[in-house]
Amino acid sequence: MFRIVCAKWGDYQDTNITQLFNNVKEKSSIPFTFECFTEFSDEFNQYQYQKDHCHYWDQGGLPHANKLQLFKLDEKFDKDDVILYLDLDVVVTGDIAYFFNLPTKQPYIIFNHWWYDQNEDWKRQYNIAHCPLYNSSVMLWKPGQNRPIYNFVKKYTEQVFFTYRGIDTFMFHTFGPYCKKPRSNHFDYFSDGIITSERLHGKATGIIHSYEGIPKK
Amino acid sequence: MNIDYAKRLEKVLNGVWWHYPFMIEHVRDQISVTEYCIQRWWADKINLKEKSVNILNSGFGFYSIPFAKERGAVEINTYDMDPMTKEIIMGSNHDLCNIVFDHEDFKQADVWINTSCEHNYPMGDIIPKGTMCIMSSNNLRKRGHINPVNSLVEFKEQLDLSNLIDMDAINFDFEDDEGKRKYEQYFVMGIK
Repeated sequence: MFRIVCAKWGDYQDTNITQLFNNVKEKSSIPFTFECFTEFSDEFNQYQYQKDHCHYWDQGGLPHANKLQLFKLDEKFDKDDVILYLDLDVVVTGDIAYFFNLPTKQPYIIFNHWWYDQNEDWKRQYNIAHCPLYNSSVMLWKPGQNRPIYNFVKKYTEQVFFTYRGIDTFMFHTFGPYCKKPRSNHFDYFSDGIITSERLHGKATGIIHSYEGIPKK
Repeated sequence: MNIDYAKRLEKVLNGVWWHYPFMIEHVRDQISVTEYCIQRWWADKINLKEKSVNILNSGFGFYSIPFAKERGAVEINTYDMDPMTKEIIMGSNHDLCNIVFDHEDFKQADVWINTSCEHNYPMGDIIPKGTMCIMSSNNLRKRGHINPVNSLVEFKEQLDLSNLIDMDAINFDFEDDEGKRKYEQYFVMGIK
């Protein structure tokens, strides 16, 4: 079963969900189920505070930690299902069948190929926990494949929430190419150009265009 | 100072010149007079003869590695999260790791040193019990400092040592694009 999921909390409205569903339906050549997660466990709530005396990106608190809960909430799905997660502000511009034809030996996340090539920025800022090369606006996985990430957060809850403000930086540092085995290289990456970014590319030329909170024109 | 020190300096500068010119600001901070004073503080107080040492958040250990050797250390292990450090560092057994999450994999060592505690989750939960440690942090608010402390007392509480041997505070000046400011660097030496 091909499952498209999204998650709603904070300022998003039900109309955003309907809009995304209609957008996906219009662009898909294959059958799929669509589900928006709106109920999340409160297990991390007490850790979601910001350290006011620190710079914005050093305040910790993982404000979007609900997204990581999806890696546990997927247990209700069948093990052979394939899940495509979409942020509520992405725009689908091509056929999403592409994603369900990818090999699923590893889960996928967006890799900032553009930024990787401009390596000065991310290398210079790696040690200050900024400039992640990961973007979780779109992810693909089979149920259970990302459970190690959820389990890691459960094991080191206080440390993770103290250290990181962005879940993308957390995953890049802790499950990315430069961390210790067996966590390293947890993800495979969507090919360059499949998912474009308003912030980096400015226009949609792939299958999905990500806005990452930037207002749509 | 000996030929090994000169070789390290040459290798570091060559590496930065050819491969990481954008890291020059970071390297400048690591070889600054302030950094020298911070590392000198512990180097003047401890005898490391026949001891093994873990240096956490080493940067590239520009002063800490030669000081540890000068004080007699027989084994020096350095640990950093930043992948660029691995390319630049020399003179220690270097391990690329996140000191908060990977400390269970650290090599056993007689002495643990972290002079950049402001960059990570409080060390009290990380240092093994009964271990000699030298820790330093500060009250400087700047990008990347996820754990600045307000006082020496607060820092001491974070470390939760069983036996305090020495502690100190030194004033330094700092300047970046947010302007000039003074800050205090805190030092604590003791047994976890």
